[in-house]
Amino acid sequence: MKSLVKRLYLVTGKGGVGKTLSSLACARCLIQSGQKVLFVDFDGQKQEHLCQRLSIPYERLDLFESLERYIGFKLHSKLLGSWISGNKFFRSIIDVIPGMSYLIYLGHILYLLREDENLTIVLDSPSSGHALVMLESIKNYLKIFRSGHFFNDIKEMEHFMESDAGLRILISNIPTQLSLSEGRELKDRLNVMGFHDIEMFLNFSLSKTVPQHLRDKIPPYLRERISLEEGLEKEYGSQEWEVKIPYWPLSGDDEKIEHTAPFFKTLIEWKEKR
Amino acid sequence: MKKLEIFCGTGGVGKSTLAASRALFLARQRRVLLITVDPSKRLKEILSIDEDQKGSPKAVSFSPGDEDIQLHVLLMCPEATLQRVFMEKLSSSQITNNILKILAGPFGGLHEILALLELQHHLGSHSYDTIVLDTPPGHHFVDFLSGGERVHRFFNQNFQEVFQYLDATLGTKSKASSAGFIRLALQSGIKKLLVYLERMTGRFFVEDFVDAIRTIYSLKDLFLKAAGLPSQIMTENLADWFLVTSVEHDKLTDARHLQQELGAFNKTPPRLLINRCTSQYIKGWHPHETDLIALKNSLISREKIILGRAKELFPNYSQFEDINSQSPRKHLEKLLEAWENQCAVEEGKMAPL
Repeated sequence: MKSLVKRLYLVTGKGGVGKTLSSLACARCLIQSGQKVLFVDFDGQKQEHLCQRLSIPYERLDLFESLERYIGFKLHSKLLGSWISGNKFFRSIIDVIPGMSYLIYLGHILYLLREDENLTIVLDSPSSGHALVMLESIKNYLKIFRSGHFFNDIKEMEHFMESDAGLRILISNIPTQLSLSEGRELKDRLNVMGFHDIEMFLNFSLSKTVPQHLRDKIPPYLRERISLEEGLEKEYGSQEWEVKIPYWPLSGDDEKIEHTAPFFKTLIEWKEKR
Repeated sequence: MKKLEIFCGTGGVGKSTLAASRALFLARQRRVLLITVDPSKRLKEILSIDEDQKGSPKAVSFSPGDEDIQLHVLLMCPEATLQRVFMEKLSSSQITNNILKILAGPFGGLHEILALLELQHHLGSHSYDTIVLDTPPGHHFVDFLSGGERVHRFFNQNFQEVFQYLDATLGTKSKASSAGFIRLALQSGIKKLLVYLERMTGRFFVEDFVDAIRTIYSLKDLFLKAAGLPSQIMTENLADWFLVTSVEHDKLTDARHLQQELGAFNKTPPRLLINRCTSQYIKGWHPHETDLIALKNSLISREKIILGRAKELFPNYSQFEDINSQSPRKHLEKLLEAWENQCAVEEGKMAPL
């Protein structure tokens, strides 16, 4: 048994569960364990500055650049690649069908991973509904294309995602009934879709912030919140999540990420099957 | 009182529950439809509606204490919307095209424009005094609105020739002249595009694709009308907007962004709702331990920062206190009370908190 890491990590979960900061902490943890890492995002806020401050290599993908590169490669002509991806009608079709653009991004990510065998990518998740659109688009477009280059490449993408060393999905939860039931729903859905390497973790845990011996020194509101959290843990069974990340009473994102990174040690670990 | 109340916010701020409680509050006096476009279908948990009831409005009753509040709730279902449209325009609810069937799925990608179509349908029905719309969470509050813009770009005048050409390829309409074809090939390059597309994807897809485009094109007027809904709502001032954020997840930048988008059109500025405020509960707490002091300061300061900026940026804002309960029912009851208090404050019957 050899201790390794996966090639691609995606932190997901419902809104407001701290996805982006967790993704960055995951990248920091991989770097600290000696891995070559790239943090990738494609929509939402650019994480450029935060990555720079934390020394995390960063790349922002651009849809039409990714598309141009891909088509050019497939049709053996850079010129055709730029002509097709520049075609206005083609652009407006891609524009109106978001699922399609996710495939193009995923295709680019796979290309980067294939180019460099030692690279691990952490993908900044789009907000949860979108993460499902993104992962589901793989299955959808296999049904749509049915044959040809696109079909074969998406098939390869599916194969990679489901392969042993491929993708790990980390689902972040916060200690509320709603978040946990949705986290579980998300996990089941991903399972049905064929994604099986999924780890859950608990974020913003107050019971981790306030140690037992200080519990009688906090106001009723906080005590109640902690007891609700503990109740949920009993209900859901703590085997659902091995990792609990405390609520950090800190103000800077950099600091929060550095404190969170060590918690990802067990979440990134992967044992190769022999 | 406006015909439409729109709740916007990124995920996890309690937007759906706030929208539901608002709908209940209004339903005491009026005929209310609550629409949720949220793919996570949170409201089904909160109002105990079954997943298989989605796609059309269902009567729901909620009874806090000895009261009984009646309203209608609609869980958006893009496929049902497309079927309805097909029935009206093409006299068959059967979606046979492979591509359209998949794109109309819950996460297929056409859900935003289909949501606009559905909303338009109910706005025109006059069965309700007020529609409360819980928009899907997005990176941007404006995601939902930009669905319309994208459709406009798709039906761009410049592509008229593309659609005409695609129509002609299946031979249902009069054939365009060969001179016309040459012109088309030169301008939009659609013919060339299809040849390359076939090389990339095979015949099946190109046939499905041409058929899907033709079907969408035959529904063009409907899609364009729906795409125009967001700007119609704004120019005709049809809606009250609520931007939801919480002290846990400071999304004021997003709220500010939407406020600016709306500002140009709306006469009444949107109201900012700051959810899950906690300082009421902890301001009287004076810990001595370093860790606890840090905790208190962090909880107080995050709220102070967000309130300070809210006051500066939003002429209208309201605070909602955090509710310590795992029961969705309890949340609705408490929020119902909160809306009542808000209302009393506005009418000057009560001093603000």
